[in-house]
Amino acid sequence: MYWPGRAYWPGTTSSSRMLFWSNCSLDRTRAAIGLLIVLTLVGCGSEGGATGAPPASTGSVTIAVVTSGVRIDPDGYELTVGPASRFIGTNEVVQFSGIPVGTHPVTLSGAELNCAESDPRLASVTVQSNAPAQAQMDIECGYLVFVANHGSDDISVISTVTQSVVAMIEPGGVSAGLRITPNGERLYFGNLFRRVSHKVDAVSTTTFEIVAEVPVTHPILDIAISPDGAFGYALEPLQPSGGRIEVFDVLENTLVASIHVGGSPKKVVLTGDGRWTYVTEQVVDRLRELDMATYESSRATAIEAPLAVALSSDGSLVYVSRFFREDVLALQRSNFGIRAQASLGFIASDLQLSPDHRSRSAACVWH
Amino acid sequence: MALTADGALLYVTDNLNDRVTAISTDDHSVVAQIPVGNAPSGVAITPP
Repeated sequence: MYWPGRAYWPGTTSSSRMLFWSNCSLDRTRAAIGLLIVLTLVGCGSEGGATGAPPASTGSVTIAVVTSGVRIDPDGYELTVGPASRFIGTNEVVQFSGIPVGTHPVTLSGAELNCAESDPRLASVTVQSNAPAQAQMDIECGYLVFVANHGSDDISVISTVTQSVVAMIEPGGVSAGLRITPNGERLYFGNLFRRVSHKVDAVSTTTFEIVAEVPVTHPILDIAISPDGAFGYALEPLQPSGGRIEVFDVLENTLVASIHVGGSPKKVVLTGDGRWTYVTEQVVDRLRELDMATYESSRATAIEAPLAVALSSDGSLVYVSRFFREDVLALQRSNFGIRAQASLGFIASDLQLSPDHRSRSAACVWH
Repeated sequence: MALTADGALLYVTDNLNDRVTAISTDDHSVVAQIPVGNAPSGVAITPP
C-alpha cells in the first residue's frame, strides 16, 4: 500500500522518496500492512524528518513610531515595510509579520505637512528569519509659517520642522494682513491691490483652499482676529475720509460694523480679552484706542508718525514705533504715559514681543 | 515678522532677497534662510 505525500515533505526528490521506502520493511499480510502503516507514520516519519525542514523565508519586524512636537495629527499615519502597509497611531508600536527575509525600505505617508521624520531617518530595516527585528521612527511636528509674497502674488507655506517651503497658495492679488484664527484652522488675509474687487479671503490651514470670502470696498493693509475667533477686523487705509476698520463675522463671513479711524492707519492690534483695539494713525500723528464693545473711539494720544504697534502680554504696555524718530516708545496703557524709549536707528515697520517679555524684536524696512 | 507660539523662533521676511530668515531667540543666531516667492512681506504662524 502506498501513501504518497504522507511521510515526506512535498518537494523531496524521487530518489530520496525511494530511499525512504527502502528503509521500511513491507509485509504482504494485511496485519503487517496495518502495523507497517503505524511504523511508517511514526518511526519512518521521524526518519523522514531527517530530510530537513525547509528554511524559513520570512521574519518579523517591530517598529515603534514616536511623535513629538505641536499640532500633532490625531489621525496617525500609514507605515509601509517592503510589501506590507499598516495604519498606525502617532505613538504606537506595530509588528509586521511574514515579511520576506532581506532588507526592505520603510516609508511613512499620511503625515500632515507640519510633521516630518527626524534625522537620522529610518530608511530601511533588515528582516531575518531567526530573530525579530526592531526599529524606531521619530516624527516631529511643528508650526506652519505663511509668507505673503508681494512680488509674485502668492503665499509660501514653510514648515518649522524642515525649514523649507512645503506648499504654495495662489490667491491672486497682493496678500496683506495675514492672520490665523486662534484655533489655527483658518488663515485670513486681505488684498492690497486687486483690480476687480476687494475682499478678505480665508483659506484652510490644512487644505490651503479658500473656504470663505468677505467683500470689502477698499484694499486691506492689516487684519486682527478677536481672541475668541468670532470677529475679524480689517484695516482699510485708503478711504478718502481717512481709514476704516471693517468688522466681519467669522462664522457668517459678513460685515457687521464699520469704524472710522484717522488718516492713513497702518496697524491694528487687540488686547488679550478682545475688548480694546489700538490703531496707529500715521498721517494725523495719533494712537487711537477703540472700544470693541461699542465700536466707538474711546481715547487717543498724540504720537508723531506712529507706524507699528504691539501690546505686552499682560496688556499693561503699548509699544509704538515712530517713523521719523526711528525709535520705539513703551506707553503705559492706563494713561498713555511714556515709560521708556529706545532709539533704533532704523524705521521699525513691525514689532514682536517674546512671550516671556525677555526680549522685543523690531523689523526695519528702510534705513 | 512673527514669533512661534513658544517664542523660540522668529521669522523675518527678507524682502530684497526673496527669502525668510529664521532666528533663534535663545542666542539670536540664524537658524535657516528659506527661499520663498518674490518680495516677501508679511508673516503669520499657526498657534500650538
